[in-house]
Amino acid sequence: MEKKKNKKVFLKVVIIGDSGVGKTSLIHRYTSTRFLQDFKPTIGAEFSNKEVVINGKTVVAQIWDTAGQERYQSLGISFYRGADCCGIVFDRSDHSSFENLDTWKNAFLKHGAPKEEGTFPFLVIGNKSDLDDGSLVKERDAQQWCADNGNLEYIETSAKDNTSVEEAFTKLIEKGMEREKVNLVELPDRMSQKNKTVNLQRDVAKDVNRKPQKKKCC
Amino acid sequence: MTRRSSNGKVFEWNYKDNLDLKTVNKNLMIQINGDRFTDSTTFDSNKCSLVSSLNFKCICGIGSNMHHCEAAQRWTEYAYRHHSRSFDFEKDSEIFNDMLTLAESDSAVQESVQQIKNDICRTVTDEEFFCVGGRGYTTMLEVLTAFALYDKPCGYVQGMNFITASLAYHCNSATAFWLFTSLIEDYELRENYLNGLEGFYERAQSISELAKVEIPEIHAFLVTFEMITLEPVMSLFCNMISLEESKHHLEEFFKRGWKYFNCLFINFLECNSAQIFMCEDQCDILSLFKDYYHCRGGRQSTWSQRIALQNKSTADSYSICDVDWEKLCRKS
Repeated sequence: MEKKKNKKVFLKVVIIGDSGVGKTSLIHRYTSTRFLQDFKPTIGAEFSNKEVVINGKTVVAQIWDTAGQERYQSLGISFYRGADCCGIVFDRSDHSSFENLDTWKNAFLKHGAPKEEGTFPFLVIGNKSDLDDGSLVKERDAQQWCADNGNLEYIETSAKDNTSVEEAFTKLIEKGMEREKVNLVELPDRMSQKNKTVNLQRDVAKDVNRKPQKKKCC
Repeated sequence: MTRRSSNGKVFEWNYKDNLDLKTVNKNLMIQINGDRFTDSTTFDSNKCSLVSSLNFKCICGIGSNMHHCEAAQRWTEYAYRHHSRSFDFEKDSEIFNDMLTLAESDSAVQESVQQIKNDICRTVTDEEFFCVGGRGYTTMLEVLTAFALYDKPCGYVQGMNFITASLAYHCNSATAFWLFTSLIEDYELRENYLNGLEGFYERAQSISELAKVEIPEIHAFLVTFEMITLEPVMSLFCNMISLEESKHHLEEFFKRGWKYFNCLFINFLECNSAQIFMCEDQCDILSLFKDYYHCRGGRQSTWSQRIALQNKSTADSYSICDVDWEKLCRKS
């Protein structure tokens, strides 16, 4: 007997962008609805889960937070694989982080190697809008960049003020779901859903799907 | 190293004669040669010029000169004993200052400085000492800037900021820099940070092998071992260990090197075994460790408090200085 209702859809969301643009703050704001001033730099990558209902479907978004510093990118790229959508974040008060959008997008396409890369769902996120002193990256310029780079969608946020954070992630998840519509696999087992992406080790594909063997501590 | 141990002259300068202890604000206690003094901006500037010239904050007591505390003094001695790293504090300061001057006009270094500043202010956020303008902040900035010039191929890598913070708590810039350089060069941290992180992968592998032997049941649980080891290795656990405890932590590391680190890691896993065994899958495990590494207890809380916070059933009285590392390291 097939139970159709309440099946969860699993979606992998990857957030990339320069160091210090506020990736961790955005994710934290979205997943725990709080803003913390004191995020430590992200070393390597980490992730959070958030369960949301979108268009009547329960979606488990596994949001990967990657390190912005170049040295850790060799690690970060192993998380790009299998992503359903990708948010590229820049700091509106830091123009160089805006100029690096190109690099981030290309790195993602190169290492994530998604199918149909021309239509892969990206969302460009201009964060730290609260720091408006007149010198922020202008919406017009950001929109222009998005138009020139495959008509990407753009949104301005502030993790600090909680401006449009929820909206940004909802958009991202919706985009991911649209893309996945055709071949969305609704996996029943939580383990197999999640483990397919938790793969940092370069050569442990076979280990990753292994369930921890429950044993008692001696 | 004898040249330093006999060099008590600098402080025998007689604090006792020059400072009227009763007038002193009790803001920050600094122990100098066994006597307690306080450091405060309200001091008479002539009387306290020496105290205020101290750029570190710990209360370990001062070493053989004003550049660092007693604990850091011992670290230099271990670096000398185990790796023949010699310290000549006056000369080292000069070289260090020259490097800082050079760094100012080096465009590649200045690029790293942006990243460094970006990270320093989010390294220890619950201590004024490390906030923008604080002395710890300045020390960290100087050490990491000089390092970006000193070792350009390696440069500044995130994780170093945590180690530097622990050093800056106990030393002034020059000593902190040379101790940091010793860690990088003599204690083989450099390989971890180099492009491709190959050194890190090897290190994670060896810790994993040790865990397989020492704590096989926990090891079997931890499929994504590399991911769990990344943050502790890159920050030498300094992201989790309180500034006060860093005295013992760094002491053990300078004394025993990676053997100690590996034992500490195994110990850390053992302390948290109950929590680990409760995890349903690798994602739960990763979340558990993320909570440890990013525990918001701040740098003030001790190692045992941080462990206890997550895992109330164990680690009631576990502190880094209570463990017999000699025995543990020998065993492994």
